[in-house]
Amino acid sequence: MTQATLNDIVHRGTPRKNTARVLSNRLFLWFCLAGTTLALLVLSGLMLSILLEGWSTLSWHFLDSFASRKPADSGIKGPLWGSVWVCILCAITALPLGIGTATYLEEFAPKNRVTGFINLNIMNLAGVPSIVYGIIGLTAFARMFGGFGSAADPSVLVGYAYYNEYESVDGEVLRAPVTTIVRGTTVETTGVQAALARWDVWIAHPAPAGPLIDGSMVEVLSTDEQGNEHWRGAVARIAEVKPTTQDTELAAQTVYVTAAAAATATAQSRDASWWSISLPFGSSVLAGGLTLMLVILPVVIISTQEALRAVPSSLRQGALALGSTRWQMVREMTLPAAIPGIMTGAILAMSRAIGEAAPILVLGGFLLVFAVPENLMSDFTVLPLQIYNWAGRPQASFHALAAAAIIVQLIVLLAFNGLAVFIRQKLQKDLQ
Amino acid sequence: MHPLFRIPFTLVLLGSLPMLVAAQQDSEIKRVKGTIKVDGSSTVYPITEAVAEEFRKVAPRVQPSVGISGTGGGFKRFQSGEIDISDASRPIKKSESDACAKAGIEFHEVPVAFDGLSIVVHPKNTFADKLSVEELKRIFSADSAAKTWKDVRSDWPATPLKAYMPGTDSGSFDYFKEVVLGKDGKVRSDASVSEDDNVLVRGVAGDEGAIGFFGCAYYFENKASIRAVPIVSPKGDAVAPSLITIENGSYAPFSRPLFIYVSAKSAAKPEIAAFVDFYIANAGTYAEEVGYVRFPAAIYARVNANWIARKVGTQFTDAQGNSIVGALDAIYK
Amino acid sequence: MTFGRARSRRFRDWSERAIRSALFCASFFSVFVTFAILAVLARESYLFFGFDEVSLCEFCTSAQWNPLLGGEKHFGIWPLVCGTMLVTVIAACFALPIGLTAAVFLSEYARPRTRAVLKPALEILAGIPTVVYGFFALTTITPLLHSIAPRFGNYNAMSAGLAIGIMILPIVCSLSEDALRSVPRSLRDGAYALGGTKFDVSVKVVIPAALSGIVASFLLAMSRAIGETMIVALAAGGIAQMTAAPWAEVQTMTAYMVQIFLGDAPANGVEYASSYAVAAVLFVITLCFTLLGRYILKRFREEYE
Repeated sequence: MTQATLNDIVHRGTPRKNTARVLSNRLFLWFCLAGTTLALLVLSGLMLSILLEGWSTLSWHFLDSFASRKPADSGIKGPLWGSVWVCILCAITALPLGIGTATYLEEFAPKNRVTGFINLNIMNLAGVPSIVYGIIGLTAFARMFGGFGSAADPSVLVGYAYYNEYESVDGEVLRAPVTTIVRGTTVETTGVQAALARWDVWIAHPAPAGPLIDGSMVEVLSTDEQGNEHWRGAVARIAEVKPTTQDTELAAQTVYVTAAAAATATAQSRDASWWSISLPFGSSVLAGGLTLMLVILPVVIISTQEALRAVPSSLRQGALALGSTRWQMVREMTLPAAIPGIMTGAILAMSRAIGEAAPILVLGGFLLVFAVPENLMSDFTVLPLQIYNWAGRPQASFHALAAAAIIVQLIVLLAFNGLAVFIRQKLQKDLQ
Repeated sequence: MHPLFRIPFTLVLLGSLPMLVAAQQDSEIKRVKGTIKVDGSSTVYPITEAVAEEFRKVAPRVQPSVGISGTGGGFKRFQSGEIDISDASRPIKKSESDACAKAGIEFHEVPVAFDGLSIVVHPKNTFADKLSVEELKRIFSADSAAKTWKDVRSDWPATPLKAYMPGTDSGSFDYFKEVVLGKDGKVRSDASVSEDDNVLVRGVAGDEGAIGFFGCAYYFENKASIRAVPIVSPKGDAVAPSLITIENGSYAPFSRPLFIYVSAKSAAKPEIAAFVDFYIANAGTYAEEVGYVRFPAAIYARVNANWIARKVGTQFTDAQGNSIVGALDAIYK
Repeated sequence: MTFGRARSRRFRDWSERAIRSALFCASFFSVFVTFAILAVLARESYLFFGFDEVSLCEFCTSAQWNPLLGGEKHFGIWPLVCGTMLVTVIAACFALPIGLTAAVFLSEYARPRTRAVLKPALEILAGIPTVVYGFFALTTITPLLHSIAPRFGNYNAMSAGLAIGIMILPIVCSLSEDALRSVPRSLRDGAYALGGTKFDVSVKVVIPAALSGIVASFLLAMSRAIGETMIVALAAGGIAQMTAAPWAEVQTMTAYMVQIFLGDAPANGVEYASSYAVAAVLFVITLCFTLLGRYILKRFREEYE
């Protein structure tokens, strides 16, 4: 308002001299308006075409089914959850690390060459193309520089519970926990040892009709007059029965012995808790999240630095004058004051992370996944990759799927934004 | 009771073994559990995608994951044991099988279907009614590298000619080169290169002077925007690519096999074995569904026999380590 | 009591030091990342230059890049660099002026309410996967260009460049707007008091005052454009050639890397290794951009407190 009145006064005062200036002012306004309108038109045209193409495909079925070669059956359950996992992992690693780095550089670091070097370094990292980060993610996270063996045979496994699997006579899968783990998937078990000991006993006596093996699986049904135990439990699969002799009496025994031998190796399975980790990470959801962390880390750092710089130094001086330590000052004054800026930076960074396809592509992320990630080592795919694939196919029905997937991605993005705004407001209130 | 009971029981069991195995397999495959990691060529991806999807219906507890890192990228991950099966649009190369050997990875080679090579032009290009191998050579060879269509056949217009093709490491290129340029021929270097057939389709569809070659599946999908040129066969008649002409061999020179390579270590796992069984049994059906061409039944029988015998190694490299290119029927035993 | 206070002070000192070193470690992580990048790229490039077909001299000077075609393979990086630059310049010509004017509009002209709607909308646009812009280029921009001038084929630098321009538009706009807004109000008021029009104030006072921030946003956008992968892989084509013609088909460094990483070249061959050398060059180029930006910032930065 004041500016407008000021302008009016100026114009009224010296009308003629200012014609050119007024004209240029008017022109500039039009120019700015035109630029903004053009930008808005292009971007809204893009959005609108996506909405129109994808809207009709959106449905619960689309959200809740895995990808299919038939467009009508196809859905984004795999990539959607993959994206969510990757983004959460990315956020919980990148945000603390990035904000910590920025805080150190702005609030603690002495202004010397080392700090200057780190700053320059971060600026440089912000410009490194994401596909290069994909290469680094592949080498550093997925393969760990080759230092921990291959992903198929990881040398370090944490958080897994091992089971031997047996099939019972009724065809259900029985599982016995394995106690000793030697490297990787080579598993030695006390359970089976115990079972084999029982087999020795069992072979010495006439065999029961419905045999079993593992000690932990054994259920003694009854004992007959001869002292034979009737057991119920696991058997090996019939396909693996290889009788070696024609003698029926002997053959019968051989059958069971072979079955016993086979049954020790029927299957081994492991249950992973959600935090299970194996080194190297392979193309797992954790490797994906960490790779995206590399991509957005510089963005987070730089925007946090900007936000911290915008905090007036009078606040800091006040806090220090009252005798607080640096960290107390940062914790109580600077960080809270900078939170809105930090959150904005975080939103921008996360929206970049969620849209990245190239690094995941290089990392060796899968495209077709029939399971939602269950733990840090699960296979995964992400929405942009699925969009890339669908949009690249010749059939138009897949393009509609791609558009629908983009809409979902934007909704996820909006949710992220909403969360950030919520946090922003909540924290601001606390400050007051 | 038991000795008496046991003998007949065993006899019954032995006598009915094959039947039992079949019945057992059906219910067994339902119980098989595990993950299958497949990666590699985007050309083979549609077949693997279809097979994986259908396999899930018979073995719901198995979770296949399929990637598209390209044939080279797939083999790289295959060598380091990251994946169980590698999709490949060309046979494994010497350097790759050496790397596998070095890493202690043995593999089973499983051809799954034919991909015909279509030579396509823009639909508005109506003058190129047919092309002989000699004319293709004039277009694609580095020595002649025709600049306009007039250079190919003198009564054609002088429209500038632009070539779209996959790179020299691709399977399509190997087969094309074998037929058109011969062993030592050199391909022109000013063509637009992509190993993503979609990119080539779009390139040819947008340029009236364009010519390109790529898998027939992509031609079948895009018949509205590109036109396949009939090729003069050795017998002298011009043959256009179609499911029939490729399968019966009349479009013979321009078709290549697609493969999956199965790690021998993985093949010991029941879920992988079941998956490959299923793949071989249904490859023809799903390949046709997505636009590729099934092998003759005799070849699938060979594939299956080799798989059951768990034959390791490749049949597409000779003793000197050179790739063998030619008709599948003659190479693959 | 004195004792208690002393202990708490010791604890305070200790925790202060612990936090300080934790934060230092965090900031050192970025240095570690850089060295990891350098190490990986250097090692793989070293392997690349170990191949017989390759010489460092040819790589740096030759204008021929055809690892996937032809009888002899040629590895001269310039066609790829040239393609990248062409696309980037087109993107910059589109996005920087429009982005800046939109930023000026938002910061100087727009009502707070308009701003409050448009700014978050821009931030959301930054989250559209770049793949989408790539298909926008293929399905909308390219046909449009073709209908204007038929010499634009299905793949051309212009289409990819414009799509990248659209992609970086929100970045330029949002970051420049931040820079403009951070110019203290007192400067504007002073300029108005001296009789400046809005044009005078914006162009002669606010923009120069925010120049460092604006340049920083430009550079960030440019380095995004250089490193953009999916759009060029989809829309720019597959011929690595030295040309400045916007209608020509070009291959950028990133597009080449995608071609290799998704292609059929064997992973232990020279073509595969070449993608790492290309990545190294890309890294060096972005490093140059950063240094340039640093220089400009130092030279022109104006501080207001």
